[in-house]
Order: sequence, then structure tokens, then C-alpha cells
Amino acid sequence: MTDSDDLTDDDVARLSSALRAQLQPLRHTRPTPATDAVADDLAQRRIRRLRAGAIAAIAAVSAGALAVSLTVGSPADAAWAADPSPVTDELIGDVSSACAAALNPGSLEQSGSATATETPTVESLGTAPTSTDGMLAPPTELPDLVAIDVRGDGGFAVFSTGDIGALSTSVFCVVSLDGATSVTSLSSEVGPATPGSAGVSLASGTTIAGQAGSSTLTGTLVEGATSVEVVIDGLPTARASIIDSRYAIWWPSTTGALVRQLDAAGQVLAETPVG
Amino acid sequence: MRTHDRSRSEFERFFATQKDACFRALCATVSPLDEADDLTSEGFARAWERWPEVREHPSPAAWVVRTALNLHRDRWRREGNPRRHLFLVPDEHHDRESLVDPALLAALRALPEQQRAVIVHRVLLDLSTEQTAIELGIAAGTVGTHLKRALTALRIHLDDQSTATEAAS
Repeated sequence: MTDSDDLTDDDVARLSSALRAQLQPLRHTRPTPATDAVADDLAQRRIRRLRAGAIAAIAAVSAGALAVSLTVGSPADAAWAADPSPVTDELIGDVSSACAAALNPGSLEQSGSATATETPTVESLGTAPTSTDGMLAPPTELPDLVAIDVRGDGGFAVFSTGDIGALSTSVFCVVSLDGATSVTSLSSEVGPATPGSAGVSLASGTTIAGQAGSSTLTGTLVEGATSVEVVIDGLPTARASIIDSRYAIWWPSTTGALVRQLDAAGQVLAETPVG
Repeated sequence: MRTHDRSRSEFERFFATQKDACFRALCATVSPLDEADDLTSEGFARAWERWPEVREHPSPAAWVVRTALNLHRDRWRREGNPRRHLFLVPDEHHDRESLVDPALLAALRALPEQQRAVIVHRVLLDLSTEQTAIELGIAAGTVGTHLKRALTALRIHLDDQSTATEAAS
């Protein structure tokens, strides 16, 4: 047997070169670098892997995300757009009025253009009170608006009293914009608004009353982030709505997504798989 | 050009020039090749997630390989022997195994961990002795020792090739 001390520098160079040559036929076969969107391609692959459960645990835990059951109605059937409607005072006003009217039918007459399509009951306001032993009751009026996303014919808004980690009341309000702003689903949750420091809340509607579901996502921006793009399997890369330091987006499927936070120069600051 | 676009094109260049080297580096440890393929993609995806940080790394390719190998170890611990995926996910590129000497691949994978790590960094990723030493946290002299021992172990599979290469040139 040859002793390694017998190898000269020339031998090392020759054998190293031979090893490289022997392994040369091995080439990475995916994804193709010909595309001008390698990163998106990689992101899509990651989403597919997440869906396949290959690295399933990454999403919620890494972002401190909370998956909650949320009745999501008509947005699944509504038109959807990659770009959100601008978050204007008028839009916020319309959505807030509609949600307030749905929450408290007594305020319907005061809500102007808002049209409640269903009257919420205690049951429709969610199941969260049981999780907190009734420490807080479902709200009778809307807390502050903390997130909103309207695109295409539908959208959702989140109203919450709470700071992250504190007992709080949140109201999820799903709206439709077919002609007038109306509420298609309302649910409230009493308890810690979001358990994770990232404050990400993902609701995947799965199948509700036999209808295909939608996903809603809201989270807080990392420091320096000014925009959020979301890569969703099977859909164009979308831009999330932002108010203050919170972003929000819905999409018409229950597939996972990759959330990419960018600074003003377009530099990626954070990328979080969800779903 | 926007910074994001520059960053992306920079990453794409990195991906295009280093993906095969990283894949081969992973093949030295990981079997089947489909698993190495997936890990290579995942390593690059994670590099893209942290590109501002990774691009400043002394060897971004080594970062990708180390990240992918860590993931591989995690999967191994969580899922057991990844070979079982052979029965779940057919390797669509199974013929690639036949492109190289299986005895060489087997010998490479059978090397002691430190020797294999030196081969991966010094030979397959083409890092300098000093870079390899830093990356592996060992002395430069130790890199040389591991390299010679590893090449000695692989020599029986390489001599024919190197002779043929010399004859061709």
C-alpha cells in the first residue's frame, strides 16, 4: 500500500486534477439557470417542497406564525389581482363601516353605504372565548384597524386591541366589493393576538361549507422593510398591502407562499415561507 | 439598474458558475444523486435568502455546501436513512450514477469525514489551502496531511484516469 508521505506536490496536483475530471460529468440538473428568475424558481420549488411536507416545520415556527381557522367565503370565488387596491382613507372607511355594521347590526343604520350580508351571532364570532375561559367577551365594537388587503373583488381587514403577546381582541372581517362593500364573513378571537414576535398570522380557509378556501396572511415588517412581495405557487408574484408596520395579503387558494420583505432599494431583508 | 436587480443578477451568476461544483461536493457525501440535487437547490435557496450576508462570505460556495450538509444531517436525524426515498421518489436522473466510476464515488463517500471535507473544499470547490483551513477550522498543515491521505486512498481509482489525461495531452 502506498504511504501518503510518498505523494509529491506534483502527485497531489495530478490526482486532484484527475478527481475533478472523473467527477466532471456530474451536473446539477435543477433548476435551470437559463431563466432570468432563478430566485423565484427556487422559491417555487421550496413552496412545492413545503407542500409535500419535506421540510414542513419551517414555516410557522420560524416566523412565529399562527395558523388560525377562519371562515373565508367569497374571496375564493372573486377576481384576484397581484396588485392590491391602494389603501386609501375611503377604502378604510368603507371596509370599517361594513365590518362594524356586521359586528353590531344596531349600527347598520349609521353605517351609510355598508351592507351586511349576514348577521353575526355569537357562534359566528368565533370560538376563541372558550380558549380564555371567558376572560374577555367578544367585542361589541371594532377595535383599531391593524391590517387590510383588498384586491380584485375581495379583501379582508383585521381589527385588534392588542399588543403582541397580550390578551387582546381581534376581529377578522372578510369583505366583498361586488357593487358595494359588504361583509361576507366575520370572526373574532379573544386571546393573544399573535404569539410570535414576528406577529405573523396566517389563516388558511381550507374547505368551508363545501367551498374552496382562500388564504389570508398578515405580519409585521422587519426593520427597514418598505415593501413585501409574496411568491405563491401557481399565481403571479403579488405585492402585499401595508399600513404602518403591518402587511397583509389574501390569495384564492390554500397553497403556501414565500414572503419576501424588501427595503427601499429593493434589497431582500427577509424571506419567510408560510403555509 | 436597481440594487435588487444587481443583487439578483449577481446571485444568478454565482448560481450558474458554482452549482455544479457544489453538487459534486455534495455527491461526495450524499446518496442518491437526486437527494444531492435537492440539497443543492435548497442550499442555493437559503443563500439567496441571506444573499447580502453570504456574498461577503470568503467562500459562498462553501457556505452553500455546509448549509446543505447541515440540512442533510437534520433530515437524516429526523427521517432516518434518506435512501428510503429511493422507493418513494424515483430518481429521474439515475443514469448519472453510471457517468462516473461507482467505485470512486463509493471510495469518496467512505473517506474519514475530515479527509472528505478537505477533498470537498480543496479539490471540488477549488479553495486554497488557507481558505480550506479557515473553513474547516484546522491548521493549514493539517489540510495538506488530510489531502495526501485522501488522495492516497483514492489513487487506485484515479491513476488510470490521470494516465489517460496525460497521454491525451
